[in-house]
Amino acid sequence: MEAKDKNKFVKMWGEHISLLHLVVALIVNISAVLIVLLATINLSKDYRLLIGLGALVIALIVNSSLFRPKRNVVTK
Amino acid sequence: MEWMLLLQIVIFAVLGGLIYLIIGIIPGTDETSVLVPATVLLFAFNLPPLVVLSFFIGAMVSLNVTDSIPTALTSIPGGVMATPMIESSTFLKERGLVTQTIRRMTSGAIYGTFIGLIVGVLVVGIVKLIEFATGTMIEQAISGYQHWVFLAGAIFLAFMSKKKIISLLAIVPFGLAVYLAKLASSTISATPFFLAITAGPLLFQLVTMLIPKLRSESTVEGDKQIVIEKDQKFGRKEFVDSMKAKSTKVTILSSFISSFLFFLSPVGVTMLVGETATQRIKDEETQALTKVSVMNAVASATYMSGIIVSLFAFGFAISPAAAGPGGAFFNPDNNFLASIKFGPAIAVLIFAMLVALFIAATLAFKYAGRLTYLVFKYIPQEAVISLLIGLAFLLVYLDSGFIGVLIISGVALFAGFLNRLGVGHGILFMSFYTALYMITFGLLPIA
Repeated sequence: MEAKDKNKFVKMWGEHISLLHLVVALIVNISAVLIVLLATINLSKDYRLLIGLGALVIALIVNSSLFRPKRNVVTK
Repeated sequence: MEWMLLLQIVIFAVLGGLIYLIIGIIPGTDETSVLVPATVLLFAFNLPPLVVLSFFIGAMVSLNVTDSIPTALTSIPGGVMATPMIESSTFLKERGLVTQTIRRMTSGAIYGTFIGLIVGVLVVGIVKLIEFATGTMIEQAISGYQHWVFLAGAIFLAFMSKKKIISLLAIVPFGLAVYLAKLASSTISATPFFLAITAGPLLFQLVTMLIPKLRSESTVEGDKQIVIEKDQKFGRKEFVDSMKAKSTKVTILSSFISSFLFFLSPVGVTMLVGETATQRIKDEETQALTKVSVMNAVASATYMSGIIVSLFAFGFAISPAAAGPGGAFFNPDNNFLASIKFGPAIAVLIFAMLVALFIAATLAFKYAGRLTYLVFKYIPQEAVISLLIGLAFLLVYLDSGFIGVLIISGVALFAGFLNRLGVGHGILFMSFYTALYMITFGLLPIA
């Protein structure tokens, strides 16, 4: 779909977003959380929260390095 | 032992201030989803209650200072609380007044935080005095009538809002949605509903992107062009100038008044008081500069007084700021309220507030441009949106399992839909509370 035309984005809350990238990022995040939740099923809720947050931080780093921000930032 | 505790309080105030300084700048981060996990975690690992309080206050104060920075620099709000400032910020940016805007916003936040503290303590004093004089506890006096209090709040907010009729009409259906959700799974606690209300608009917009027509309507071409003004020199003189601007009196007065409106939603109060207080100013530039200062002050003030009054006067979350972001403090499992005394707790609160204000305001005054540049250059919005959805998913799943996630997603979509129609967050919060108390009192039977 949109992926063919690399310069077409959608505007959400004033930011430009590639829907393809967003879908991939969502899959990365949700699967990270799911894997962690399933793997820690025997642990207490608190540890699951801690590990889940860790997984989300890693997902944030992964997503940030996979995709470039659709912003052209210049300082003047 | 004592020293250990003091050391922890200091470290966690600094940590909260520093971490949430960056989170504040990241666009679109919603206060409830970013503050709840950290506080829940600190409680879970049995940190002393005062240490958790220190972290939370540091984080909250810092967040309120910095979420306005990207708004001033780029017209993109750093969080939900900064959205009312977009219009004035855009206007000022076109006039090339970005540096002044940030300085007015930051000085506003400083005044607001202090006044929120003062009024908060004042209200605690008044409540305790009334309790002492009449011999009845406020909490017991209104106990049993909470749903009426919140219903009245919802109706009041609806009348104050721009879309009065649709807001009034939304109160009952949203309450019913909450009731249906509780009927389907009675174990869902309050926090998932809060996440549903605050993250609802985001989820709703994601879903509307599935409709080709709506998607093509919001299609844009190429990268977003963002010009960030370079940071200017900031010394003692500039600090004094920022704190002594013409708008200072209006800022202080507005913060004072809105601190008493702690039971209303902070975004709603920010909008309402910010617009009303600056209506009469003729010169557009002065008006916009006063508005950003007032709005940032009001946001900080209502947050601060809401937390203090909820913690120390009522012992339950009477303000949306306390119920949402501060939710963990009122969770009976954490036993927070029973394990603190007013004196030490307020001392820790003031200390953490001062630490965070010092860190956040110094960096905002001096390096706002550079900080925003780094965040905007390296953190793609796709990663932020998916992080927020991931956070909500994790929190709701741990609260009430997969069924809970499904139900809350439905409530969130409904909340997002109503929000799109013009129904404010505050009204939805009040409607949720009304339903929740009606369930608690058996007026809406579950089971």
